[in-house]
Amino acid sequence: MYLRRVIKASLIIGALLVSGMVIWRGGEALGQSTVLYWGSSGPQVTKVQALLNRWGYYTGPIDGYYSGKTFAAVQDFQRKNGLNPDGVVGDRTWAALGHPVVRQSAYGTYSSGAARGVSDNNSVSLLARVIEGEAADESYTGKVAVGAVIINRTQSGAFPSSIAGVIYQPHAFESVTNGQYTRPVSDESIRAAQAAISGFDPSNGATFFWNPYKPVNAWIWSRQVLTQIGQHIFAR
Amino acid sequence: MRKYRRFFPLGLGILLVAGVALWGYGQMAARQAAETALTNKYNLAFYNLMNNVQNMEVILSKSLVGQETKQDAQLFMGLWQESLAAQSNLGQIPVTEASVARTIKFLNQVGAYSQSLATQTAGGASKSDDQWQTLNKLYKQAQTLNGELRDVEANLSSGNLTLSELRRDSRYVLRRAGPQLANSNFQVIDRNMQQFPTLIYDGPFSDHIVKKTPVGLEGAQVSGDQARDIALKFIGSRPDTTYIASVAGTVNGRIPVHRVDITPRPAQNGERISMGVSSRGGKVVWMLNSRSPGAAALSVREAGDIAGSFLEDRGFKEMESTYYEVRDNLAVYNYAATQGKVILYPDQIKVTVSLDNGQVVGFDAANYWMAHNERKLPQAKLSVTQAREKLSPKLEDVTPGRLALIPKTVDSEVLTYEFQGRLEKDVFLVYIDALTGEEVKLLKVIKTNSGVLTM
Repeated sequence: MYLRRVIKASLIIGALLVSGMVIWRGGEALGQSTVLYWGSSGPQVTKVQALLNRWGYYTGPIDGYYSGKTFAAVQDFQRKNGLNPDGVVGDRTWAALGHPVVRQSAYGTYSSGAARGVSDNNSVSLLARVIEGEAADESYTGKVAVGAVIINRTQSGAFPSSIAGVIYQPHAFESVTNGQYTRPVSDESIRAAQAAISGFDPSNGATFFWNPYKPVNAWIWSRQVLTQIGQHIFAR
Repeated sequence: MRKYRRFFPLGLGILLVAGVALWGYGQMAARQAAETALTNKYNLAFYNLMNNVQNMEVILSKSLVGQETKQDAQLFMGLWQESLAAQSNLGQIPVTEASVARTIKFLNQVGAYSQSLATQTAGGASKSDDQWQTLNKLYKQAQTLNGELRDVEANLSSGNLTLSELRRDSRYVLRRAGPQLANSNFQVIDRNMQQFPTLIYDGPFSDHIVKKTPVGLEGAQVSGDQARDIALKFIGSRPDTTYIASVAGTVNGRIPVHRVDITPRPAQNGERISMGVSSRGGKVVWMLNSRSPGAAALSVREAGDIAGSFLEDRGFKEMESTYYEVRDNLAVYNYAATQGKVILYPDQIKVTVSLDNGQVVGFDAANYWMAHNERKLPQAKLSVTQAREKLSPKLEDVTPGRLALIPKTVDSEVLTYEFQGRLEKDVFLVYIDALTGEEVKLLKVIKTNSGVLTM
């Protein structure tokens, strides 16, 4: 009797936990979640709120929480743009907001055919993936700056001299350590990677960046801080 | 008591499941972290291998046109290093020995050959015709190997393949590089320049940026408000658009700047402009525009004219267009300053033009402001004809030659004659010291799919 109940309870709780974990991990794997709805939160919501605010649809606080006011504003925006006013920010609403969702990145189109061996596509795609992993929610300038840090490292004597060497240096980049950098890359990240490789450097020679709102090693603050772009401090 | 008996199994169940789940999750997380770490190691080895083989290919092709024994010796030393590094990187990729044996053999041969040639050329003896032929053969094989590696890389970056899978199914991919590379007639063979081809981005010479202080910037400190006005003026005006600018902060470092963010109203395609205006002298150092380009409507030449007049309008006179690159409907043009008839490669500016409407969406003059000043140029001791005689006779379609100032080390520059020539399909730039006649630099022009051309 006891045993049966224990088993039964275990099974139910187990099932709940497993499904809960799947949902939770699914969310993590998506990372930069593209569909937003009532109850969503995070920098993507902030982005939508800021955009809608700029265009006069939204007057509430830009706080990253998708609540009633945001919902109403999204519906309003959808009606004015001929979309189904369901209050959910999906692919089409994102596109209408000027941030089309890019599911497949541009690389791979270069894959074969070219007989010449030397190319830089591998550098661009590798760099773009790390930019996406580290700075998906940053502005274009913030993305270029993150790319520039990696390029600057290749030129600094204190780091490996190849892009791959810098990126795969153990624990150098969080998104590489946890495997997140393998998710699809947006067009903007690819353009940012190209700009960084061609020499654009909004960070002005930085070799470190970190998010001051996350716990970081106190040692990092001993570096010379150059500037802050978005959520990242840049230093050398 | 009854109640207690009913809840007891539930409590025990929760505890049990929670314990197991916690342990299981911990195990799963640990396994995933380990697998990611392992995959990252494999990726590192693979991308480094790619770099090594690309460098080998470039060095091999350079060795075909290099004329000076001194330069040759350096090239061969580099080739030797690259082949050693390639072998050790290949050894870390989880594929069976059998599938990569021929690739390893090729790398070995290149290593051994370059070692012997390095010894020979360092001793002052230049390479023979036979040796040149072998180098040529090796170059072709390195190209093939590179092509194969790029196919693997395309699969890797599109997610079709992860290197930890290779461990399980190692018959895949790398084996194909084998048969074509197996050439028993190989007897033997070359040096490094860069980890990724910067030439196509920056034109020759971009590495001098390490220089400490910007010599091109003079004048008073400007305030944030002044910087904002300078930025707005630099953008110019667009019909029916107002620009709203704000100072986003300052950036310390090589060239201290005020960062100015500009938002156009109405915005097109989420367009946002960010600009760095130097604190000293108030010059625009860089500009980035986040707008993604639409379908191309302009030719590369038309866009080039736009880039040229953009620079001229902003006071950059005496600039010469050197290289350009097109990628995803964006064209990047490189310009270098000129002084008299001499082109000053250290003083370069990049202008990015969007091919959909001709808008200038990128501007980078960091190199220019770091280096630009009125040079005291020495008088050339060699004539163009004399310098030309120093070139390899194998080089075809050689350009008439022109005077160019190139960076030699971090803080010294050298006056050279620049020649462009061709060997089969490869285009090279050769720089001969205008005072001593020494071959200072040898560069290969790389054409990518996006069509990098010299202009």
